[in-house]
Amino acid sequence: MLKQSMQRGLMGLGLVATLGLGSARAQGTADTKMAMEHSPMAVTASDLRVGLNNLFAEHLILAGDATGAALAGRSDEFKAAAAALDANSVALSQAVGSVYGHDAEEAFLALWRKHIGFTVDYVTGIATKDKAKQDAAVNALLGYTKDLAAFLNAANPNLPVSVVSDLVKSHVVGLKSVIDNQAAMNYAQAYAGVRAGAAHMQMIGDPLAGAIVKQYPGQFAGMTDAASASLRAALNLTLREHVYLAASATEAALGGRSQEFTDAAGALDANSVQLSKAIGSVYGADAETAFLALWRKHIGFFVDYTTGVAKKDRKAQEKAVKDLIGYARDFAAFLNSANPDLPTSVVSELVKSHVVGLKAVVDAQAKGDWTTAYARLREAAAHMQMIADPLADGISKQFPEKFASR
Amino acid sequence: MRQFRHWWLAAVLALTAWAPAPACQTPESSRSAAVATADTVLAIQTFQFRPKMVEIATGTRVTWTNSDEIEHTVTSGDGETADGRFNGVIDGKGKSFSFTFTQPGRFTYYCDRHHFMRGEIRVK
Repeated sequence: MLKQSMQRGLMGLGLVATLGLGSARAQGTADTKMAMEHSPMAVTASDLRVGLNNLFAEHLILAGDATGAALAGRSDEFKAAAAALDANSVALSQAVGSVYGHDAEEAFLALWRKHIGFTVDYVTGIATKDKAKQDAAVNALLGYTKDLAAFLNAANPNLPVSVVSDLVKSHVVGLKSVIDNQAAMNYAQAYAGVRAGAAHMQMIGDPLAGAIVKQYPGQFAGMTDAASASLRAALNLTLREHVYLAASATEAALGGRSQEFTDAAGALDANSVQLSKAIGSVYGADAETAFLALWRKHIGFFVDYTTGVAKKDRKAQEKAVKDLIGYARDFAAFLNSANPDLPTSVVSELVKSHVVGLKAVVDAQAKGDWTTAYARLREAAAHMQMIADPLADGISKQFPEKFASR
Repeated sequence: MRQFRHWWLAAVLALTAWAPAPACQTPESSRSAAVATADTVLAIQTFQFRPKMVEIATGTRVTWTNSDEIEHTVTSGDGETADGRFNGVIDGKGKSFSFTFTQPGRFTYYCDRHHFMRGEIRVK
């Protein structure tokens, strides 16, 4: 069953790429686009919801990475984060284009990039203590919310201008708060803001996916608001956030920014608690406790690895990698015990890939190779769908009364 | 609901198939007929000892059966340090470890591979 689920997950990723909802490797996108033309129902409503939400949340997180690096004067890192953020923007525009056509794709991309430009203006105003520049940027961002809302409403009348405008305004205000806290070096609040802001993006992604499905009822099988789709979206978002926050923590640690590391690690732990609560909501409080302890173990091993890298201690690195590989078996055994439809060997391999992917991010961070670090980071985050989708699928099948697909 | 089914299944299997006594178990002689009482079967599932705490009569033989596809141990101690009273390695799904408690008291134990897994046996 997991194999089928994985195949569906892979197909989902491919189809999501069709929608532009992924890292959009050019060839893959072209291939799947052709497939899509022959199979319009191949993308489910759940795929659309998950893909859009993943991209919107990634937008917020990468924007936070970019502004944090810019404000701290880490210019090379800022450039790489900004490039990754732009790749995310392109993917989002392709998603829009896959539904509304190439012209809409271009218009959306131009519009979307505008608000990133205004955000850069705001950051520059903060960095240079230029209050007038800050105010102008905030005004431009607030004006922009109406533009984006009008664009979406024109594309899809199921999206009221005033509602969308308010939702985008909340996004802008949330990101502004992250930037203000970064500038004040209040990293605990900054990371809490990143998490809240990323979660808020679901307030945009969910209605957008729902409105698209409503607009094209014959194009997407299933419903975006089915309980199984909600579970899938939640697991994807939480597991992807895990990767991003882990990378923020390792990056701060390697950069010797101990306070920021502590606060990023705190945010990462809050993510772990959230994930364990999701497990607990299905398998009970005791399973929640066991899951959290187990999950935290692998984060500890990553801290060990990062410390080994920072100290150039080869033995410590090797031990941490060994521990992480061993952990993959433990984690897979836990999931298999909770849900026999999740084979230990398959899950173990998936978790190993996660470990290897995140290790590549840490290695690139340690070298200061920020372009590679952000490229690997986006891949590592995307890979989490290979774990989240089968897990959501397995749980939905195990508890069909709780996670109906319709 | 499914978890409960597994727990009961593990319990039934363990009750119907006596696990061989590992080397570290209390010597056979100490499990005299006078103290032998009904066996108690505990499950190890989803990285938990189930139930976490049980009360038993002196002389009861407790069997832990592993339902996880991973090695666990049943190690007496406080969760950090083994006290040497018993230590069973249960190397995989379906494997068991048994120990007979011949003296009253509270006995804490844990899994040496996963220290967060803890349990307690209260012997009256």
